[in-house]
Amino acid sequence: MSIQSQLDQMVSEASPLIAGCASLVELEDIRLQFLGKKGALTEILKGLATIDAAERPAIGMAANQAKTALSTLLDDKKSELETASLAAEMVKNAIDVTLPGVGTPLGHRHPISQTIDEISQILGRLGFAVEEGPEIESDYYNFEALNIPDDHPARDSHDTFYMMSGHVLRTHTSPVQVHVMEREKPPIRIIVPGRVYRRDADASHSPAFHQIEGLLVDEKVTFAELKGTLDYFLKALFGAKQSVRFRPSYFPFTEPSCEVDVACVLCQAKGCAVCKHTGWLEILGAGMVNRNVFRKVGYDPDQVTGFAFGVGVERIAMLKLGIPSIKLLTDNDLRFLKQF
Amino acid sequence: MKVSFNWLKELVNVPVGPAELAERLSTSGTEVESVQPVGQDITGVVTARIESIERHPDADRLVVTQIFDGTDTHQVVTGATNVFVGAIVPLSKVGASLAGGFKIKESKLRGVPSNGMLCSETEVGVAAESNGIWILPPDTPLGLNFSEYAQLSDTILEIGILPNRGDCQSMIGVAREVAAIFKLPLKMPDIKFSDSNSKSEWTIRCEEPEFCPKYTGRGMTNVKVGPSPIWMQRRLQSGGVRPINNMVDISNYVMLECGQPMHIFDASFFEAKTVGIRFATEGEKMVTLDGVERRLPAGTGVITDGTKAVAIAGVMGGETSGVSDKTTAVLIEAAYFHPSKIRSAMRQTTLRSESSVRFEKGIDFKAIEWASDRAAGLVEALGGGQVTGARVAFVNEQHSAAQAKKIAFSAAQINGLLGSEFSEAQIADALKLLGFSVENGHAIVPTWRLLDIQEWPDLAEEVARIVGLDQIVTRLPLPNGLMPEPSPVRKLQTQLSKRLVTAGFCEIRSLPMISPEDAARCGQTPGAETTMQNAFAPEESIMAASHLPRLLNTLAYNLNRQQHDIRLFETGQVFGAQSGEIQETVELAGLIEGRETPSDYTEGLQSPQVYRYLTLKSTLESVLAPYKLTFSAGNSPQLHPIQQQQLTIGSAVIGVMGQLNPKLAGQYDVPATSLYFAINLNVLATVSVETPKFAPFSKFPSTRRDIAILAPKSLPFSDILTVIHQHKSPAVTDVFLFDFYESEKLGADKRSLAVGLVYQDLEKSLTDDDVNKPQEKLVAKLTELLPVTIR
Repeated sequence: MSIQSQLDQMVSEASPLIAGCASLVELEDIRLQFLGKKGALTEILKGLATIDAAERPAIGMAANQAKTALSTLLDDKKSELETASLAAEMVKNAIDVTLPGVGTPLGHRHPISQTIDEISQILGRLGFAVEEGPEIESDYYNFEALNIPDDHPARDSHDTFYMMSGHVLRTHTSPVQVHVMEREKPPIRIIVPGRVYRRDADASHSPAFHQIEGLLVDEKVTFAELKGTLDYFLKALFGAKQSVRFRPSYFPFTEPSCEVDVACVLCQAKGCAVCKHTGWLEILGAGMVNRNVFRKVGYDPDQVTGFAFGVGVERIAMLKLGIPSIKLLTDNDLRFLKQF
Repeated sequence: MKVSFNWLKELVNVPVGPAELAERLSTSGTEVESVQPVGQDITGVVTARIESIERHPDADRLVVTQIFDGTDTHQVVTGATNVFVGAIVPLSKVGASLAGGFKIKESKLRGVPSNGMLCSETEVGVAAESNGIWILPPDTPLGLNFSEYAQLSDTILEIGILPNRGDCQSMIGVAREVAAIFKLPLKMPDIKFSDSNSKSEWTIRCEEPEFCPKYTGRGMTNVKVGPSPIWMQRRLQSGGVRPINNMVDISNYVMLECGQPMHIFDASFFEAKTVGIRFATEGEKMVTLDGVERRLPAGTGVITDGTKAVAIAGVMGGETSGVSDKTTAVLIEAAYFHPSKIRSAMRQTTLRSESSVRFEKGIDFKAIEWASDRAAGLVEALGGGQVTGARVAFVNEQHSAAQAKKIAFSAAQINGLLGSEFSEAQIADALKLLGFSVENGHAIVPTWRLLDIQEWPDLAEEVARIVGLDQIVTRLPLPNGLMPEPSPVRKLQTQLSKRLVTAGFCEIRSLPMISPEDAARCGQTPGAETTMQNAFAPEESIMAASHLPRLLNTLAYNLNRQQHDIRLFETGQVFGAQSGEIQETVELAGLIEGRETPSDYTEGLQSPQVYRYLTLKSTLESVLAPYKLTFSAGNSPQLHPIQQQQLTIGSAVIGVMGQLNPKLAGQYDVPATSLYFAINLNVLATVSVETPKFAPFSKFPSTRRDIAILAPKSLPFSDILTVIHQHKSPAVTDVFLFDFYESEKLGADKRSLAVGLVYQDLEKSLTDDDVNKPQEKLVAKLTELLPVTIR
C-alpha cells in the first residue's frame, strides 16, 4: 500500500472515532493513537526511507496535511467537549437565583423629613438657604417682634403652650425671621423648616407639627415676586399644571396678607370632602413683611421690602402621599414608615 | 359669623346666588367657611292654636291636644312640656314634609290617634337645637302657610372673621363688603320713632374715660315685654341667637344688624337713675345673668347703678338688672369699651359673649348713636315703649377711637409694594368703594376701620383685594448672590440620617413632650425652663432632654404591634437648661432590637444572627466616616454598666452607645438586648475633619505572620492591641483579629485570640529574617507584659 493510501486510510479511520468520542480522556487516547510518538502517523512515516528522494517532498506535504486535518478535528472536538463539560458543571453547581435577596434592607426616612427635603430643594433653586432656630422661645420673638402685642386678637389663633419659666413653645417658625434679620443685613433669602407647637389637639391637629417659613427681603421686592415664588414652588411640588389661587387674608406680621390655595389635588378640583366641596385646598399663608416687623429689627421700611410665607409640612405630606390622618405621622408605626 | 342670605338681600341688592357670592367674598378677603341651605322643602306646616290639652290615658309623659288651624280641628299627641292652651304653634299636618325629608303620617301614640305634629325650630330646619315647641306670637294669624310666613327657606353663609375685621361681625358690615365688590349701594335700615328733646332723667358717671370713651343711655317707658314678631325671631335664629323676649331680642338684633353690642337694663333697678362706669375693686363680686356669682378681677370694667356693679362692661349683664316679664321701663345702653381691656376681662373671667367678641376687635365709635336710635325705634315699634327724654351720653372726644385717621399715600408707593401698575383713579375708586375718602394724596379711613388701617400698605391691601389679586403679575425674584451653606449641624443631620437609612434604620419623628415618669427613668431632672405650664396632660408636660424615652416608647409600640427586627433613629432638638439659660441641642439617637438580617428564610441558610454590640460598632464607624471614631469606657446610668462605651473622636466625647440597662428595658417592656446610641451633633460639628493626603503603597510583596494568644477572659482585647502597637516593627502595616473562640477545652475563664500582622516595606522585599526577628521580639513582649500564653 502506498504511503499516500496509508495516510488516507488513517484519516478516514480516525475521523469517525473523533466524532464519536464522548470524553476528554478518550479524546486524548485517540490523539495518542494516531498522532502520538508511537502513533499511526509515526508508523506510516517510517516507510519514508524506502521512497525516492524526489518523491519525498510530495509525500511529506501529504503527511503534514493529514496531520493538520486530524489535529483540527481533535481541537474542535476538544473544545466542544470542554464547553459541554463546563455547562454540565454549571448546571450541577447552580444555586436558585430566584430566592429573595438576603441582607439588611434599606431603612426609611420619615415622610416629614422627605417632604422638608423636597421643599428645601425646590426653594433652594430660587436661592433660599436653610436657617433654623430654637423651639423654646421668648414671648418677644414669638409675638411682640412679629407685631402681635399682648391682648392682640390674633393671639387667639395661636393656642400657646407656656413653660413654667414664662417662655413659650414657638407657635410658628416666624421667630427665626426676627433672629436672622437682627443678625444680618439685607438681602435676606431664607427658609426655616422646623417643629412648632399649638395647644389644639383633635383628630385633625397635633400639639406639635412642622412648618416651613420663607423670607425674602431686599430693595424693591413686590407682591408680584411673592406670587411668582409661590406659583413656582407649588407647581414644582404638585405638578406644572397645578392651578394656584391667591386670596386676601390677615396676618399681623404681613401687610398685605394672603392665603394661597391649590386646586384640590385629590378630586382634581371637582369637589370632595377634603376640599369641603370648594375645589380648592388652602395650602399656605403669605404676605409682604409688615413695616412694624422691619422697625423691630432695625431695618428702614422705606429702604427695603420683603415677603414671607409659611406652609404646613404635614398638610403637604398628607396630600402628596395620601395619608388620611395626622396621627399616623406621629405614631411612628413601622408599617406606616416602611411605605415611604 | 352666620349671614342670612335673605337678610343680606334687604341691605344690598346681591346680583348673584349664594354660591357665587361665597366665591366672590372669599377671593376679596372675606372667608366663607360654608354655605348651608336651611328650612328648604318644608311643606304642609300651618299656624294653629291649641284649644285644649288633656292627659294621655296611658302615658304619663304624653298629652292629647286639640288644635285649630282656622278651618279644622286636629287631634295631636305630643310629649312637649312647654305648650299651653291658647298657644299658637306651627302644626305639621298629615302629609307634611319636614327637615331632612321627614314625612308626617296618621299615627297612634299609645293607642290614641294623632294627626300631625307640633313643631320646634329644629323640625322646620332653622335651628340646630330647640327648647320644646316653637311658641309663636299671640297675634299670629291661623292657617297660614308657615314656610312662607316665617320665610323658613334661606341660605346661611358662615363667615370666618379675621382678627382685623371686627367691622364684618354684622350684617351691615358684610353688606358693605358685598356692596363694594359689586359696586352697588348699601341700603341702611330706616329709623322711625318719636324722640324727645326734654332733658333726660338719667345721669352717666364715667370714671374711666380711657376704658369707656363713649357711653350712651336712653330711657324708655310703658314697655310691654312679650315675644318678638316672627320676622325678628327668624333673623335671630339665622344668626344663631335664640329668641327670648322682645327687649332682649332687640338688643341682639341691633347687634347682629350693625355690630354694636347693646344692653337693655330694667330701668327700675337704677333707683338713682345714675349709671356709673368704673373698674372693679379688689374682691368685688357680682351675680352674672347665667346665675353664677363671680369674683370680679380687679381692674375689670363694670357698669354700676351709681354704687354697686350691675354688669361686667361689654362682657355680660347681671342677673337682676336684666329685663323680665314685669319690666315696664328700660335703659338702652350703647357704648364703646376699650378692645384690649375687654380682651383681658374675657381672659380673666373666661367669659366670652357675642358682645365681648365684638368689643375686643373694636367697634365703630361714630355709629353708637345710630345703634341706640335703632334700638329705640324697635322698642317703640315692637314693645310699645316711649322715649322718656333725650339720649344722654358721656363722650371722651380726646380718645384715640374718636380721632379721624388720615393716611398719606401715593400710587407709586402702592404699585411699588404690589408690583402692579394701577392708575391713580383705579386706586382712588377702589378705596372709595370701601368707604374711604380720598383727597390730595391722603385717604381718610372709614370710622369702622380705624383699628385695622394703620399705614399705606394697608391701603395697598384694600386696593389689591378689591381690584383682585389676580390682577397683579406673577414674576420670579431676580437671582441673588452666593447662597450660604447649611449650618454644619444641619449638614451632619442630613448626611448621617441618609447613612443610617442605608444601614437599614427607620427615622421616627415623635412628639417632643414626655411624662415626668419618662424623664425620671431616663435621667432627666426637668426645671422650669423645660416644664410646661399648660400641657394637655402630665404625660406630655416635659420637653425631653434626649430622644431615649421616645425611642423606647416607639420601640414598645411597634413590638406590641408584632413588628420585629427594629432599627429606629430620631434626630432633632433636645432640651435642657443651665443656670436659667435654655439649651437646645441637636441629637441623633437610635435604638435597635432583633436580628440583623430580618428575612425569615435565612434561618435555613445561616443561624439567625442576633444584633450584637460589635455590628452596631462597625455601623457607627461607617456612618461617622471620615471621622475616626474611637471607643472608651462609658458611664451612662441608662445603659448596661459594662456593655456600654463612649464615642470619642480625638479628645471630643460625641456620644454614647451600649446595651440598655436591664432595669430601664423592663420599665418599657422592651428586650434587654436592645442597643442604644446617641450622638450630640453640636459637639460633632466642632470636630474638624482633615482632608486625606495620599500615602504611597509598596510595590514589594507583603508577608503575614499570625500570633495565637490564649488569654484570660477578663483581659480586654484593647490591652493586647495596645501592647502589639507599642512593640511591633515599623514594617508592620496592618494588625487584625482573625479568629476568636471560647470553649470548655480552653477553660471557662480563657479565650483564644488569633491576631494577624502584615509586614511590608516600601523599598524592598522583606527577607525571613526581616520578619521573624521582630515578630519573635513582639511575642516575647506579649508574654512578658500580659498574662497570656502563645499557642
